[in-house]
Amino acid sequence: MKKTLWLFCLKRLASLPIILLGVSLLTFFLMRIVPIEPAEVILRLSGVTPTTESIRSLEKEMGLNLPLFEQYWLWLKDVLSLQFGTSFVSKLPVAEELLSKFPATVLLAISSFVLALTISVPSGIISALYPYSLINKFVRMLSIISVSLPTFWLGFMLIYIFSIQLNLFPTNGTGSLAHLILPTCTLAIPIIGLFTQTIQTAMTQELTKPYIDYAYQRGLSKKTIIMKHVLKHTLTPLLSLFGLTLGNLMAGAIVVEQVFSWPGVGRYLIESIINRDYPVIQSYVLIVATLYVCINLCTDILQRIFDPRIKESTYD
Amino acid sequence: MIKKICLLLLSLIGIISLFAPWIVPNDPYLIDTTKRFFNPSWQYPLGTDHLGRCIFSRILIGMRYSVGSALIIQLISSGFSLAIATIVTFRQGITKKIFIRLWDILLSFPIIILAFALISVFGPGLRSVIIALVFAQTIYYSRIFHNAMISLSEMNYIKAARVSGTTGIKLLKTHFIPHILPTLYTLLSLDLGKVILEIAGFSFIGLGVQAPIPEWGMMIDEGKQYMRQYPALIIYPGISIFMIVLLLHQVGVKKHAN
Amino acid sequence: MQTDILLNIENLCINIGQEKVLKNICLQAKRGRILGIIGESGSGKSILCRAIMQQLPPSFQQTDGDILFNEYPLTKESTDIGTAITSILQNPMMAFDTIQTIEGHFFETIKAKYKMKPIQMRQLAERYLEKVQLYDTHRILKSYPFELSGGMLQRIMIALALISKPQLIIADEPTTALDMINQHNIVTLLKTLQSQEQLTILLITHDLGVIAALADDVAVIHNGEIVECADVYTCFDSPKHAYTKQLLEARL
Repeated sequence: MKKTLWLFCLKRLASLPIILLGVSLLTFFLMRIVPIEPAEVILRLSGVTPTTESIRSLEKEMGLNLPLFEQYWLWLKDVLSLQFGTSFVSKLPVAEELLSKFPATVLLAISSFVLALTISVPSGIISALYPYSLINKFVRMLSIISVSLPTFWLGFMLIYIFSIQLNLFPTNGTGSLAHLILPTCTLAIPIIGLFTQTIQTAMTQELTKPYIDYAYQRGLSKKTIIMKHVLKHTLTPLLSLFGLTLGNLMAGAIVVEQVFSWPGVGRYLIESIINRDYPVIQSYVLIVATLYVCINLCTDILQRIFDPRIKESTYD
Repeated sequence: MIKKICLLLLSLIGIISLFAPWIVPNDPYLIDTTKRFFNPSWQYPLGTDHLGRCIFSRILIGMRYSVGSALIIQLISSGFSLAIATIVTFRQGITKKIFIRLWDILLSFPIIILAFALISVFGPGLRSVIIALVFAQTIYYSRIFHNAMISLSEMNYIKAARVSGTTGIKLLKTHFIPHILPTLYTLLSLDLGKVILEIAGFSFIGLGVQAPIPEWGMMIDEGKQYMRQYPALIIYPGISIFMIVLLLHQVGVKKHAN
Repeated sequence: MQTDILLNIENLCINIGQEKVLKNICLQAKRGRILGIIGESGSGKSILCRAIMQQLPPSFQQTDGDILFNEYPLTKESTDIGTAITSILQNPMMAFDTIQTIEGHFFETIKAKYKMKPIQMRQLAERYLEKVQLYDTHRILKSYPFELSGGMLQRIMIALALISKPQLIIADEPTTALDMINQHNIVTLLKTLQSQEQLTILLITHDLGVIAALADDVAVIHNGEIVECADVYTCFDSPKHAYTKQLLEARL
């Protein structure tokens, strides 16, 4: 059992660079296909009317006049030495700014994820165990509502109620646990809706399976059956959903960061998009893609550990 | 019962969006700094915003942008994805391999990230958001349709039809399409709400619709600085988004259950 | 005080909604004997089995009657279930938890009754596996249910049923899901074990051959009613009820 797990791990890790290569190539070329050049944008932004010569000279400076493949190769070389290129706008190394801001975003994503799991797993279980109860109806209603809310609007509403009216939390910025609470709740609420509904449905299905009856007849207590067996069966197939969601949170955090002035990658990325600061955007895409693939690898491994039935044959 | 009410409401909303420019009580773009932050009245049913514009009128017109763009995105991406899925399913060789590899790569991380990259190419604006989201949805849907077509082609009645001589376009039209349609419809309607939310999100952070277009996400972005004293500027657009997406989810879910 | 009658079912009535599923069932399982209940599908025998184990599906209700074990009524909370009364089920492939090893199944079943160290539990499990004639104990314990055959799983079920030294074993169609050779093996095994351990077995089946091979007493169930109840020789040689005669003729 162990050996096949290692093999699987290695196989996936081997495909990681290929995926990243593909991603970076795609992003790079996607961004170069449009006639509007970054050089032009930068000149306009600095208040200079772009003439053909000024554009040409700026392009030469930024290395944009080289053939595309050469540009890509130069950038790739930088990435491999963990340098991520230089920002078109600030002329500073992208790595510094981007990597210094990333931890804040990751913190927000992870805390929301943990909060969501903490609330949705028990709620899902309880509402599945008591299908005609108020909790069940409440959960279902809440799920539909929470996935229909615009996250950023929810953030503002929370600020309005809890910060402005009730004065319980600071409205923005960072620095203490109190600062973290509202943004985390904002990001977590739609996810709680999704997870609880999914867990409830999966568990209700699982409770109809025959092994449960046999377990009772062997003298196992209800608590043991639910906690030890049903839970494992229910949650293991959901692991990929969890991983996917954590990855998506990294992207979704951007919007919430704007609401709360959270010092993550959000603001920096948005400005880079407006300024067509390609190296920043490319690096961002690459970093998120890497994180995403790693998270999915972890969940796939966990799934294989918990469910010995999954075979090697299917990959995607 | 609920489904019928929701469908009714949605059709009402559809009609209103269509005729919005003619039924608005005031000009949604008219700036009048003497009329800032009015309370709701007969003249201004939801009051005015920080530039003296009628909030209600802006919300009505905004409906067209939010819902209309989302519909356009879903329709275009469905069309593209069906076409791509058909080509990939029925052509062997290099095209197939390329697309399958492409899907593996593109779907291995949040598509939204790619949407960001695309928006940067075309510059902020509604057009960029539509292009980016069409791209993202097409990639996502084309794989789903491709998989559905593969499993359909394994079904016995398709094999029977092939044996009896039906091929090519005729096979597609009479046998495949009718069975893909339910999947298509479900995806389209379920994701409509999601797309509306994404458009609003992009506009909110400044990458989507640009001022003075009264898209709802945009309105929230504009109103956020006045939140303390005049939360109405944020509340009304937000509730509008919420209501429409909620209705869409209700209708989508119910239809799927059928 | 030990009575001769281990399980006494008196006037058991079970409904689903308004419809009567079991009508005034009266049965007695005598100590040390095998009571066979024979009926076709739809006769109500599975519901009877579930009712005894206090596991009626949600829509079914017991409207009248008592199920007495050692003269005490059985309820959902009775600690006898799983200890003094154990069961062998019909479809062993589905009855086990597919993501748990056989050893895991043994450990949790043992833990529900005894307090033992893992080494002792393993030894106990191996002893019982050998009792049901499975000798590759180390490999079996480490396996998952989907890696083993139906016949082996059925034997493991029997081992699990024996481990708590029960007074009564309910066997619900123990041979139905097996091929002919395995059926024969299981029947032989049950016969051997029953005489070795002095077991009382309630055997539910639609297979007359199994009844003939194993049962001491027979009850025939048809449309939710017991139509015949006698010892096996009387039942086969001089059946009283028309339905019993039908059954016997159909086989021969």
